[in-house]
Amino acid sequence: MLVIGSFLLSLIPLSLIIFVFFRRSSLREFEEIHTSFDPQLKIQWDNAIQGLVNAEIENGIGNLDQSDYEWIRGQYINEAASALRSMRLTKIQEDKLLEDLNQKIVSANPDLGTIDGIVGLRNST
Amino acid sequence: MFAVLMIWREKLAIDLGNIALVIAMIVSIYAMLGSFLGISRRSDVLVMSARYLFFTIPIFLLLSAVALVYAFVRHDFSVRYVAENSNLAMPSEYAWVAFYAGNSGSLLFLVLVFSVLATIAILTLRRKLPIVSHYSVGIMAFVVTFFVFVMLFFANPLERLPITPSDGQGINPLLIHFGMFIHPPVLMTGLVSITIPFSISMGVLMAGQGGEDSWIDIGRIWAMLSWLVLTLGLLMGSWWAYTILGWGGYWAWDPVENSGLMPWLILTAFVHSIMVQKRRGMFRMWNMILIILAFSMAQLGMFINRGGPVPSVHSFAQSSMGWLFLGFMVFTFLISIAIFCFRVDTLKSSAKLDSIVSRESVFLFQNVLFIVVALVTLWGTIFPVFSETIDDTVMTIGRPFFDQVNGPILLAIILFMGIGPLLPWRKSRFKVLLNVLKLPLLVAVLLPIILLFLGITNPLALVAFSICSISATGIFYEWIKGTRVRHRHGENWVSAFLRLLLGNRPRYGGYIIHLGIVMLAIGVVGSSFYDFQKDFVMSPGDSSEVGDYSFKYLDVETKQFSDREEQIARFEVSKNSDSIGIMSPFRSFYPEKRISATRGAIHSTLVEDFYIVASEISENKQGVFRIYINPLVWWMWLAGPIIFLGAIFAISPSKITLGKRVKENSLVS
Repeated sequence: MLVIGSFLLSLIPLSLIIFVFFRRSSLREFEEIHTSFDPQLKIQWDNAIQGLVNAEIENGIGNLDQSDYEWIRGQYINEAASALRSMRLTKIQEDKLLEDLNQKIVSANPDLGTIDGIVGLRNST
Repeated sequence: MFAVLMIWREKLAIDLGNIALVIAMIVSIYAMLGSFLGISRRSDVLVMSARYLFFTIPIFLLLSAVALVYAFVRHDFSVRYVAENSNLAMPSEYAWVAFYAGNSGSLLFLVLVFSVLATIAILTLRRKLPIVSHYSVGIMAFVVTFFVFVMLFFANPLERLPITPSDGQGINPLLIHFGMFIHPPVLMTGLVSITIPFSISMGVLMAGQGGEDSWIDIGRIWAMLSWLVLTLGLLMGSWWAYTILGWGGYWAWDPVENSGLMPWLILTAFVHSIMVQKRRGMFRMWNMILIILAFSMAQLGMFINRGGPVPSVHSFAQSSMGWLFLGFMVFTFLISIAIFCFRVDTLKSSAKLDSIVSRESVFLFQNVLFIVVALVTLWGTIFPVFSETIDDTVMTIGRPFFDQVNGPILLAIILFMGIGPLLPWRKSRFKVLLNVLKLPLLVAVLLPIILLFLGITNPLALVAFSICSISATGIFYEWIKGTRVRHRHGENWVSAFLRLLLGNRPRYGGYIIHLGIVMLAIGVVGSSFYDFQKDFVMSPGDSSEVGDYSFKYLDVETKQFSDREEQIARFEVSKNSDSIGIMSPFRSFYPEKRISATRGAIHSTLVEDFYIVASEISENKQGVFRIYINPLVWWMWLAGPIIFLGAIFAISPSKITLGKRVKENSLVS
């Protein structure tokens, strides 16, 4: 009984090795996952957007001097614009991204009624 | 016939458990070698089979664990570990506690939990960072191999005895408590789970992807989970010591406690500075060093916990194999540092510090302070080893050293915890900071004055409460301001507040955690500066008074159990003439183990705990009772759930939103 049990247990890893061996022609273990754009650009974009959202929160609650706010926002807009340019998106994709950004920023600071920041980003691209 | 069958089945279960351990070892070696060889040869078959085989490790370890628990339930004393950690009198539900109550069982528990967590981590990592995942599988498999190797060759929980005893030695009586179902497993899980963010970080380094920040999100989530579990484990340990062991205290700076605290401190620094890497692409080298240190500190804890040379009041899982863990710690530390040095050129920051008055610079100061506290704690913990080496005298460092050195640094950390969130990322000015701090500073000045009127005169306590108030006020003030902005745009107050929190979960989850930490600090400060204790020798019918409390010793009842004798004292307690009721501290004596255990009776309120411990009760019912009044301890226990909620909120996926969005003025025309 013990021998049978041991044999059955050892079948689990053995069968997996055999399974992998038979699938070897279709394996692509060393290929990075390709997305439509460079993942590092996506990170750069996300960080710039999160930075913009944070700057809006800080500005909305009065934790930021107006000149610092403008400087910080300018920095993030430049970073976002640079990422957006490098992503080489279609007009529709770009509009969609900017619309999402718009929603995030207004959600972070409902006081915002101006459009200059995002227009700045659009112009930069 | 039935009995023979049962014995045969028990033996088979243990043998199969042993075989499962051996297979787990072979499989983990394959997973380790397969990953590293596969990477070097770029062999798809090797790395994929290594990963798939790693996924089977939890199955084999689970089989071994089930065999062990089954042996406990069936009182199979032919298994050495079962004979050493249980007896016929042990309630069967404590089979689970007995499973990890000793050294080898706790190793099995640790490696089982780790293999399950590692499997989940690999599955998530595989999708996002395929190359890194191959390295991480190899590292995790290496850790599993070490643990299983130690079990198989030095501390096998399924090892048989040559002669089966008729009864076991029994479990440590202090462990017979429902708290043991949660505290040790949670703490052990917290410590071992640090290996996950460590393996991910090392995988990133080995893959040469240190300059890319695509691992940050997954690394941060695992680090946060690990931090959360470790925090809860430490808090539960304190709660268990306070309520069950009858110390009257919750933290003794014991080496085993410190061995859990040190990785916690480093991990806390890591979960903060990884946010700076996420937001700014900075601190890449620093983060790698932090996670290596956190992992090494966790290994050091294993060394101390399992028979290291440092004396500890904890008797849990002592053995003489601590040196194996020390060797493992030194080896992994040196290898990690070598990999770090080899790949250091990939870790250059993509940004620089724009201003000293910014959130990232506060994170940096706070990080340094966390490291200092961890190093002070390390020095105090290992000092006995040095003292013994120098003049053969074991000198232990007690609570006053830790309190006096670490206390002020921890307060400085809480001060930074209050200031940091009020600063924006990148850049601000002192003038703006002072403006934002106006209200918190006003509260920090007013609070000590109010406390002075309430009779709190200790200047250190006043400073400490004042610092705590800066953190708490800063958080509440920001919530109020943020909610007010949204409320102005037509949202009701509740919805505005909830949307504010949901709009930036990592930020506001962090704030909730900070509130929990402030509560913890309030409890520690109150109970450290204003604790009171006094011994009373009393006979039945005697009454006495302490502060506002009056208590009358009514009687003592003696109960006999199969394994112990219990003396239960009864006190009638009142405060300011209002009856609190009957409080019953008790002492248990376990003749077989020659152990006495006390369990205090606690009347707990928001303001203070009234705590009675029966230190000694003689045959004529006269007793020595220690009375404690511990202020604000309740706040510490409430901090646990708040920290838990905050951490879950901070790492929860960002797609959960309230039904209707806020009024959206289109910014893009």
